[in-house]
Amino acid sequence: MNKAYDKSTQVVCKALDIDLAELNDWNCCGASAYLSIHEMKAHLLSARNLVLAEKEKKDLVVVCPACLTTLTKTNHYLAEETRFKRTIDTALKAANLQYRGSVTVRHLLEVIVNEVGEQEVKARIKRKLSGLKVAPYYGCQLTRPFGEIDDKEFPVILDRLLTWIGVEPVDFPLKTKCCGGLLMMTNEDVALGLNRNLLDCAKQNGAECIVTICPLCHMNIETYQGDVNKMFGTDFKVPTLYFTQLMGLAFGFSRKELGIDEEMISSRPLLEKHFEVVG
Amino acid sequence: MYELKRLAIEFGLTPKGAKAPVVAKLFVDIVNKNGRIAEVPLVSRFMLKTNLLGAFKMIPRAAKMYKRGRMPITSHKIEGIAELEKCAGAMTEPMISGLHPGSAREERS
Repeated sequence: MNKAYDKSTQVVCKALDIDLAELNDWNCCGASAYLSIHEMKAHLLSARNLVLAEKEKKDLVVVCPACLTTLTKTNHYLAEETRFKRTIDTALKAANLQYRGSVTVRHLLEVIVNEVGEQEVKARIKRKLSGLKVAPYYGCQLTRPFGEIDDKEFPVILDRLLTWIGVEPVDFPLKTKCCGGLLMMTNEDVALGLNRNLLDCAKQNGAECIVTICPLCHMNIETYQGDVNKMFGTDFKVPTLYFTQLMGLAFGFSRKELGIDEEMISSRPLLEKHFEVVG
Repeated sequence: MYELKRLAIEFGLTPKGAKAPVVAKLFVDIVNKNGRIAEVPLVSRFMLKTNLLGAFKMIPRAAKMYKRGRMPITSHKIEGIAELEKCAGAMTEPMISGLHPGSAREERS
């Protein structure tokens, strides 16, 4: 479901000279679902990924905020909670694994903004995206619970990146409000209401599309717009793109290379309205 | 909050028809088996357990997603699944003092 995010991430990282290597034999982080059943086994999943990253002597960069949250929590607890560390260390030892605590977990957005920087991003721009108004949607997990990347309630890191590539981020007060996540499966009515609020807020503030940094947010906002319209009598047809797709467009890559046209709500009319999109 | 969720599921205190425990258990099953989540088995097994009619209604959306290459049919099993199982086997799950996972089931049986 995240092929477009994967494709556009690979393409953009290559353009920015970010040496991205898939973590060998990584496992699922467990997200929040695993924590609902087994606490320590959920952290064990993250701990194994941290062990694997440490073996390769690299930072762990993720594009999913749920992965970011679970991996960061485990990393923090291993550094700060003695009993927790003892339990995880004992478990890892059973398979001759050990984690020394040297890995930093980061989201790609933060790496691009804080490490690559404005000058390097702007230097790679080949296509002007000016005139496009977007709602920068962070979702609820990028900045919470630790607030290490940006302000927990009103972050601006994505807004900044979007201005660097020439698009106009609109004021979006619900930028960190939850899309419902798995509620779309377990309590659809509530999740549709949450997404209706997000779409309505984006539209009211003049956004022509929503830009996300999370694959589950992308799925909820985009795929269920028809259901939102049916339930609330609305008429939303808001394209939803990943931030890496917009970056890739600015860098001159084709739609195919960025997985654009794989959306459920086509962004083609919007992109054609604003600028010539090659390929 | 997660401890409350775990206790509710452990002691069978979730409301009748609650779907969150179903999806959580399925999620754990799939990750335990493969080391990674697989969306199609998760969603299809969930719908079969909770809403069979809804499963049929999802077919048009699923077909549209498949046409756009957004519905991975195959799942992937990691090489280190045995490694994970070994680690998990060496681990205890602390709960509120005096309890351990499975204790509620032991009492009921």
